[in-house]
Amino acid sequence: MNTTTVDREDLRTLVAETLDLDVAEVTDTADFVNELDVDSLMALEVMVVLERRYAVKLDEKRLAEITSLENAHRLLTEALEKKG
Amino acid sequence: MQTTMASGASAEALAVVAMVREVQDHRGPEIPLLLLNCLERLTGAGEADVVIRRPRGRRPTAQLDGRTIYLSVSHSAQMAAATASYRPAGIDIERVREVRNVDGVRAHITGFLPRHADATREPDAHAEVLRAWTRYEATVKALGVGRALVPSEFAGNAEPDITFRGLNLPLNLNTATLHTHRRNQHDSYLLSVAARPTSNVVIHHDSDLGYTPANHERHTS
Repeated sequence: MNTTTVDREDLRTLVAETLDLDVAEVTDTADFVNELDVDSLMALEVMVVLERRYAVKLDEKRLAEITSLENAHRLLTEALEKKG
Repeated sequence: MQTTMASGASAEALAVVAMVREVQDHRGPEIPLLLLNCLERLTGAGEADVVIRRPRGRRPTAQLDGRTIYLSVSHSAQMAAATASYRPAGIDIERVREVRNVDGVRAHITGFLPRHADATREPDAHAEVLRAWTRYEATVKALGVGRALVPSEFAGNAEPDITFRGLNLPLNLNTATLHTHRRNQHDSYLLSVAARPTSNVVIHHDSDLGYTPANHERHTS
């Protein structure tokens, strides 16, 4: 398995579980803050969950970028590529 | 009802007016109205006299007679909180809830966790993390930097002082707990205000909100 591959559907399920949302609500582009009522601490909770699930360190300075599933996927993919 | 969170000079310039109230829809007009009510309490001016600016990515301000008034706003679940002041201040409110991966989240905000033996302790790890988070959010809002400064950059912080990269910041933090009883449901909220040490922070809240000033800072009233 390529370590830089992040299955988007797995990620969607993980994010939905973390945020207590229905999977269908977490569309690729749904804005976490404005559409899904995710607050800043929840974004940090998502970041910590992703770090544990994918065994990767995410840059805390990029926390503000976790605003949608699409962005979370990109951030995670970049971190895994960097990790090699 | 009003509650003074911090003592100090009472001059207008040092005043930090904070208000907290229940809201039905945080996307509706209730939060802008809350900000206007804060402004009115601070300045006595009505809605028509002030111009509120909310530039994207920057803190909201208002202009009145050539003076800048700093605004800060926060909401969580059914509660909203706001401040208006002539010097920068920041406010954050969080409903007490379960925090997922609480230990992992806790590791990111150690700088805002209680360190002294006599520091206020929350009843469980979740509330403790939420309390620390409100303190972080209030601090970065008062600094006007948003989340450009990440929580871990405040590591080494020792209450009541707020330090950033070893420098003491000219801010004091005040944290309180609010309790609501609505439709047979009990909720608790943690509320933090960061303001200049000499500021006179007064929180106005509905009289039916249970209010516990959970401070241990130097300026506890």
